Amino acid sequence: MTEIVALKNISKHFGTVIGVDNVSLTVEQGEFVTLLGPSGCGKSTLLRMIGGFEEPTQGGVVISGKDVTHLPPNKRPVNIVFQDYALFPHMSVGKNVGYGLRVGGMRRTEVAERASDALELVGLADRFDAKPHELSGGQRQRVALARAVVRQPKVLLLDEPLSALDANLREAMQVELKRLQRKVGLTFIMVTHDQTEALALSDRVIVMREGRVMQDGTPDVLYDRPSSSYVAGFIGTTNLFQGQVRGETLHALGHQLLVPKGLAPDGSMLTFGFRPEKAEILPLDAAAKGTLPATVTDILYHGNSARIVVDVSGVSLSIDQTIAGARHGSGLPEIGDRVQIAISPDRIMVLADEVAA
Amino acid sequence: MTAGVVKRARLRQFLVLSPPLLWTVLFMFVPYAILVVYSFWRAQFPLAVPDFQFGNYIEIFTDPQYLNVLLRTAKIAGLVSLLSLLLAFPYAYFLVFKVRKPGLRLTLYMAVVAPLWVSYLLRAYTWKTILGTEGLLNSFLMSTGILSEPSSVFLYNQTAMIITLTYVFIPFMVMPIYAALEKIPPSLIEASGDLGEGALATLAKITIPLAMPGIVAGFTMTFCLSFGDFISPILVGGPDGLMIANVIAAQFGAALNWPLGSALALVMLVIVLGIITASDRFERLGQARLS
Repeated sequence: MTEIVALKNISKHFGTVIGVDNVSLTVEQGEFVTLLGPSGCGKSTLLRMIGGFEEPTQGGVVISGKDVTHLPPNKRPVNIVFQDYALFPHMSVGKNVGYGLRVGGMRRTEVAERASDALELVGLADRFDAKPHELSGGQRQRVALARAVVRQPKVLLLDEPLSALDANLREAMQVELKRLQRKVGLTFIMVTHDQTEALALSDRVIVMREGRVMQDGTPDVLYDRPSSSYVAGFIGTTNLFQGQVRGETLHALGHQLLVPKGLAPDGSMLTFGFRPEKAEILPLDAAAKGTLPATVTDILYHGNSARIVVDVSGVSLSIDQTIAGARHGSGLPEIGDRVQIAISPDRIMVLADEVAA
Repeated sequence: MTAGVVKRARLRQFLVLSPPLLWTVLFMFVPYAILVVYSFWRAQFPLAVPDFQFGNYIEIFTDPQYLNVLLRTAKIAGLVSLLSLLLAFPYAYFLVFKVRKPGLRLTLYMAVVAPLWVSYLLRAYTWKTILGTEGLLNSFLMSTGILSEPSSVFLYNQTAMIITLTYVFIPFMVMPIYAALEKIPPSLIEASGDLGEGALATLAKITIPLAMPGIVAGFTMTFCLSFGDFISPILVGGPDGLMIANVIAAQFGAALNWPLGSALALVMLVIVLGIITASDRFERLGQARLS
C-alpha cells in the first residue's frame, strides 16, 4: 500500500469563519475514502482543497509525493465529479468526455476512441453524440464519471455524487460506483452527508464536525465502536445513557447492567450506548440477570422487524426486534406492557464525550 | 342568454385591449404608413406631389453620397459595438466571477447602468466638455506638460463620436452579457480547469460560447442604437461624421425633400429590422442547442 494523498495540518478560514480546522489525513492507493458529515462541517471544502479549487489558509496538500498546495486544478493529477455534474451543455456527450484529453495534444481520432471506451465503461457507448440535456439524471452522472475517469487521475474526487438522484436510482448508482472503482482500481475520495451511502461504499469513513475530524475508521468500526455520541448518533441509531462502571457492573438508569471487565475506568460518570438491534425484549417473568425493567411506549412496524420504544426510569430507548425471531409468545409486545430488556454486555459502547458530567 | 354572455365578454375584451391598440395604430402604424406613402411621392416645390414611382429608392442606391453615409454609419456603429464588447465583456466577467461580495457586485453593476437614468443628451454633451479645446483632457495634458497649448484634435471627428457613443450605449452591452455570464454555473468553469485547461482555453471553449446569447444581444442593441443615433454627430462629430439619421433629418428640414427622407428612413428601418431578425434567429439556434 502506498500513500497517495496526504493532508498535513490543513486549515481553511473564510474571513472569520473556520471551514476546516487543522485536519491531517492520508489516503492509500486504491482506497475508497468517504468524508461524512452534516452540511457545513467542512467536508466539501476539504475535498475542494484536494482538487485545487480552494487554497488552504494553513497546511499542505501532497498528492503522490508531490506538494501541490499552491497548484491550480489543471496542474494536479486529480479529477472531480461535481454535485451538479457540470457537463458542458454546448458539447455532445462524447466531446464532454474527450474534453480533458485534447489538452494533452492527443490526436482527434484517439480522443474519440478513448472517450467512447470510457462511455462503454459506464454503459453509455450509444449516447456518444447526444447532448447532456437529452440524458436522464443517472446518465448525466455516468457521463461525469466517464469524463473524470478517462483522464486516468491518481485520485478521483466525488462531491455528493448521488445526492441529485432519486432514492431508487441512488441505490443502483451506489452499486455501479463501487463496481467502477473496483474495475479501474482508482483511489476515490467521496463527500456525502448520507451515512448509509458512506457505510455501503467506503473502505474508510472520516466523520467530520465543525471543520474537524471526529473519527476515522472502517465502516464496521464506526458502527460498532463509535468514539463519541456524535459519531454514534450520526451513523445509525444509538441509545445513549449516562452511567458509572464498578467492576463488572454498570450502574445506569437506576439499575445494574453486566459489562465486560475493563470496559471503562472505575467510578467515573460516562456516556454509554447500544444499538437498537443489540438488545432483546423479554417478558417480565423471564428469569434473567442484569436486565432493565421497562414499559413499552411505542411500536413502529417495519415489515421484517419492529422498533419498540420503551421507557426505562424516564429514559426512552429504542429496540429493534426481528418479527420472525420473536421468541416469546406471539411475537411483539403491546403498548403499555411491562417488559425487561437484556442488552448484550459486549455490545455496550463507551463514548468519550464532553457531555459526561 | 349564452350569446349575450359571449357578447359581453367580447365587449370587455375589446375595452381592455382598445387603448393600447389605439395607441399602437395611431403612433406606430399610421406614421409608418405615411412614410411608406411619402417614399413613393415626388419632391416638388413647395413640398411634394402624390405619385407612385421608385425614383427616391433608385437615388439612394445609385447616388454614392447616400451609400457612403450608410456605410459610414455602419462602420461607426460596428466600431462602437466592438469597442463596447471589448470593454463590457471583461467588466461583466470580473463582476460575475471575481467579485465575491454581492453588495460590491451590485454597486459596480449599477455604476454602469445608472447613467441610463441621466438624460442621453447630457451624457453625450459631457464628452464635448471633456474633449473640447478648453476641456478636461486638454487641461490635463497641459498641466502635465505633454501639450504646450490646447489641441483641437480630440473633438469634432469620428473618433470623438465613437468614444461618445460607446460611453452612451455601453450599458446595453454590459446588461445582457452580465445576465448571460451569471447563468453559467461556476462548476462548469471549475470543471474545465479540473480537466486540465488553463484560464484562457476555458474562456475560449466554455465561457465565451455559453455567453454568446448575451454577446449577440448586446451587440445587436448597441449596433442598432448607434446606427440610428443623430445627436452625437451633431454634438461631437465633425464634417466627416454625418450619419444616416442626420441625412434623414436634413431631408425633412433644410433640404425639404420629404419623399427622399421617407425612403431613406424606410431603408434604415429595413436594415435595423434585418439585423434584429438575424440576431434573434441566432439566439434561438443557440438556445435550441443549449437547452
